[in-house]
Amino acid sequence: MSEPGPPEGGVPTGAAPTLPPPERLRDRITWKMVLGSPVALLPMFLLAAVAGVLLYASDLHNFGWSLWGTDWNWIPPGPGSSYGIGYFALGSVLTASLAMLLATVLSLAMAISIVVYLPVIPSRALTVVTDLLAGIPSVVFGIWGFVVLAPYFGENLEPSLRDALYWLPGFGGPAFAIGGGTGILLAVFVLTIMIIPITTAIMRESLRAVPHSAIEAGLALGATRWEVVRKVRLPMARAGIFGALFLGFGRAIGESVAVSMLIGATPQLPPSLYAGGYTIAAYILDQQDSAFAYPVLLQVLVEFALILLLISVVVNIVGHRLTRGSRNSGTLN
Amino acid sequence: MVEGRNFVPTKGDIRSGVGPMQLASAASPSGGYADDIPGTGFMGSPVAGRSSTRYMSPSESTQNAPLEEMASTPQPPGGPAAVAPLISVKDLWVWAGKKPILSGISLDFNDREVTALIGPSGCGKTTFIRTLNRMSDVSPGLRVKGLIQYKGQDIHSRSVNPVLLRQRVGMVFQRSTVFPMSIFDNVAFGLRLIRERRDVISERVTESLRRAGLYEELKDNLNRSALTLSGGQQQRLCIARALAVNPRVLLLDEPTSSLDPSATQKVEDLLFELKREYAVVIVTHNMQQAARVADRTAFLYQGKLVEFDETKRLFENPREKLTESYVTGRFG
Amino acid sequence: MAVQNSTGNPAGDILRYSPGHLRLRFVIDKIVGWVLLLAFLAVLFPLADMLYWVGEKALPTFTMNTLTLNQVGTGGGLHSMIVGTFIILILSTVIATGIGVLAGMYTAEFAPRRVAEAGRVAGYLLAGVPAIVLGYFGFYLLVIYTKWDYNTLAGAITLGIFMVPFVYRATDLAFVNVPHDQREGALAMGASRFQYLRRVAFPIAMPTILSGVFLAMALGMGETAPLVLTVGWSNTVPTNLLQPTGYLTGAIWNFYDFPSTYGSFQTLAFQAAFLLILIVIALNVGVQIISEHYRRKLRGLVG
Ligand SMILES: Nc1ncnc2c1ncn2[C@@H]1O[C@H](COP(=O)(O)OP(=O)(O)O)[C@@H](O)[C@H]1O
Ligand SMILES: [Mg+2]
Repeated sequence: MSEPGPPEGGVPTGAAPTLPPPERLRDRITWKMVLGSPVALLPMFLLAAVAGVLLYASDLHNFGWSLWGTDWNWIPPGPGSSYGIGYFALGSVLTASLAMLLATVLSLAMAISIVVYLPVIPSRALTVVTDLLAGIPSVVFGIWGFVVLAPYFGENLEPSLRDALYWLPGFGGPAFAIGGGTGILLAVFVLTIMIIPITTAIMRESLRAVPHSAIEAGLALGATRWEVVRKVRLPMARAGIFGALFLGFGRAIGESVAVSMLIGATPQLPPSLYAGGYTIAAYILDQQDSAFAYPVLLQVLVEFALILLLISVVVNIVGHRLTRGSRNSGTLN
Repeated sequence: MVEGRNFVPTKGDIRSGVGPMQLASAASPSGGYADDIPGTGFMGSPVAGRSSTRYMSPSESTQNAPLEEMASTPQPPGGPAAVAPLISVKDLWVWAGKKPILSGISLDFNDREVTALIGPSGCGKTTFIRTLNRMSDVSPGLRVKGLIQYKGQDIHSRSVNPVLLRQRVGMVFQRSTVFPMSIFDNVAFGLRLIRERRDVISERVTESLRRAGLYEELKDNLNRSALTLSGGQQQRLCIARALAVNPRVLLLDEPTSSLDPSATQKVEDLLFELKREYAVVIVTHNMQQAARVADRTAFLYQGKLVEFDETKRLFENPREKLTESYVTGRFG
Repeated sequence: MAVQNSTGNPAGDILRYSPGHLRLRFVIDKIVGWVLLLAFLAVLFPLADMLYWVGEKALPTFTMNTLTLNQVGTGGGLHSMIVGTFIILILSTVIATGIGVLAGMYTAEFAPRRVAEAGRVAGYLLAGVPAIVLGYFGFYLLVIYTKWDYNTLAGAITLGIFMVPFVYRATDLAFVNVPHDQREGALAMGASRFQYLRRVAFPIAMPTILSGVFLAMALGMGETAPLVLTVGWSNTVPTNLLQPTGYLTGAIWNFYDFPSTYGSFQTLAFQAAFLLILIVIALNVGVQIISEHYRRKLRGLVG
């Protein structure tokens, strides 16, 4: 069976001398007219448009260094106002990193389960289920987290965690930080569940992309399934797994809706994981209507969006490089 | 004890009673047809294997002792007369869905012999040898039925651990499958699995590379990536890697099909060395190769065993018309 | 002694047992399987809980009125939001399909290698741009800069851009994966490139493209941020595209934190969540059916 090769570029149109001229003419006209070369680059134009508009609107030097600080005091907008992204960036990076770590562990387990351990039918079924979960709207996760999880976190989970793990950095802190349950921990929990379907899908595909011959060679040398996973599959799928990590991070850091609903909307240096925080994405979402009234806020949010765009592009470029070998489905990230 | 091929000191509980045991199903090597022998065998464990059937005949002797305890069979040196086969296959069927790939193969393999499997492409040679160490378990969609015994133990018996079976029955694939790691790590792969001591590992790596005729070529840079080796070297590395875990049987699936003549020559030379200590099964669609290296040769055609005989006889004086036209190159 | 040497290590020939210290290997193998499965359940359990909870909250009060009434005060139904969602979704699907299919087809079939690669990377990065950033782009350009204020069209365009990369990738993949023999065969028979694409490649690629479109619709339908920033909110069906409108994810976003003393605001949110999940599942089932069909068809083609 021949592998479908890459499309060869630049094949001349109307390559059939046997056809009557009208067909060839139509051929040439249709494709040359409809599909000029730039058409392939439409996604690139869109990307450039998004970046271009934000760059055009941006006015970074007007903010100077204060933008990179942690001072946040914009009301009333005036001479004393300051617009520091610090705590927002901290919240973004903190929640996204923690969610990514948790999701990596769990989705690696799920991916190995699906690819190696489960029998065919449960494996297929769970593949479908995890893919399906990738489509559940983040706002649904948000309302579930807010109505169901937040009271549980605030009344049960976080107090007991604090009692048991007070010595662990991030898990102690003042009791008031727990509040009603919204906070960084809750946001991380829900973010983790939200990105797991995506990271699982990527890891699953990279584990599947390990050549069968290498796996069989391992088995033929008397390795158990787990030994083949550890010594053959994981090393050979390493790039894809790290790629999944990056892409999960990109997802988590860009998520605005669920985080805004759950993180407690407090730009601060959080005294513990139970405390409220804020992220760049959530802040843009929450403040856009105020931006209508205050041009300076509109401007600040432009810079925030630009920074988020930059982070996502970098993270995705790395993720893309790493997962290149194993991406064979156009469905998920 | 620590001599020859037994470089590992025996560890753990040795349960084998080592009772010399003549296998009733032993084919006489000159007799040729395994099919000629009426279905005989041992009663397996009471639990039926996952996908295997058992053949019993009235003449069967009931054995109460666990099979494992009859494992070791003494071999009169050089005397082929009453040698029990190391692996014996009885009426093996393999289906992919409804399509039969192998239809009732019965065949056995002796220690210290090279047995060749020949036949046109697609006749089921690969499928056949993959069932011998239960690599067929990992081919999706295959159904296997029939009795395969390794030293008298039904390999499909529920109590047999396929991982241990594969340590005893090693396999080298058609396309070399070196791991993307150093030469040393490749050969040490199987040894690390069984937690060998460091010094034992390096000794056995050296030993195996030497047996595979690679040591002299490579001894200076064993830490080089195995992917930098030539095709022939990679294939011999795969053989070395299989030898390192100390198997009894070596299954080779067209090991030279992608090699040039001189690399092929080296592998063939290696086979003569190997057969002094192992049972070697080689699949080839190259009849000259079979004629050169094999003691006995089996000819498979469309999933059926057409003829199984001493190589010389099979090539020079085949009993079946089909065999004759195949070995004279009239088809395939 | 001689006997043992001739038959190998007797312990090693026992296929049932391995020496004690190695038995751990097999125990680990088994245990790992179960532990991994536990991790799986640990993830699926909260998700199942969520789905169950949404159903439990939404179903008891879910009636025809939920679908046919507009939101009035704190009660009423989701009618305008359902209509709004579909208006936005149809428009954005048209935009995304138009751009995505053209660009994907061109990338797979015509573009020089480098252009194709650049296009693919760009599509990939576009898929990774956070929805909130796209939303802010739409907000800045189509709401503020144009002075249109919040409006349905801005939302549809923004969501369309969000959906483009999914359609684009699916189309690209679909054409690249047309079996080589099909291409060779058609061209060898003297078909022009146009004929090849229309008669041979397009029918084969169609199912994959369709599943890409469905997937994009499912994801687009579930997005909140780009719409919050561009569409605004209204509890009646808009009469033209430059008016704001309601939409299902917005119902959740706007009503989720009203305490139950505020009447049935939250109930509307639950029902919207329920509807969204139903639609997403329906779209996903659609994708599954199409790709299963596709797999059969392709198998038939190949051999
Ligand atoms: N897992 C499988 N599923 C379906 N068909 C198979 C499978 N494995 C082998 N076959 C079929 O069995 C036949 C024999 O294959 P194989 O054993 O590889 O032949 P050989 O090695 O003699 O060339 C082929 O027609 C092949 O298509
Ligand atoms: Mg073969």
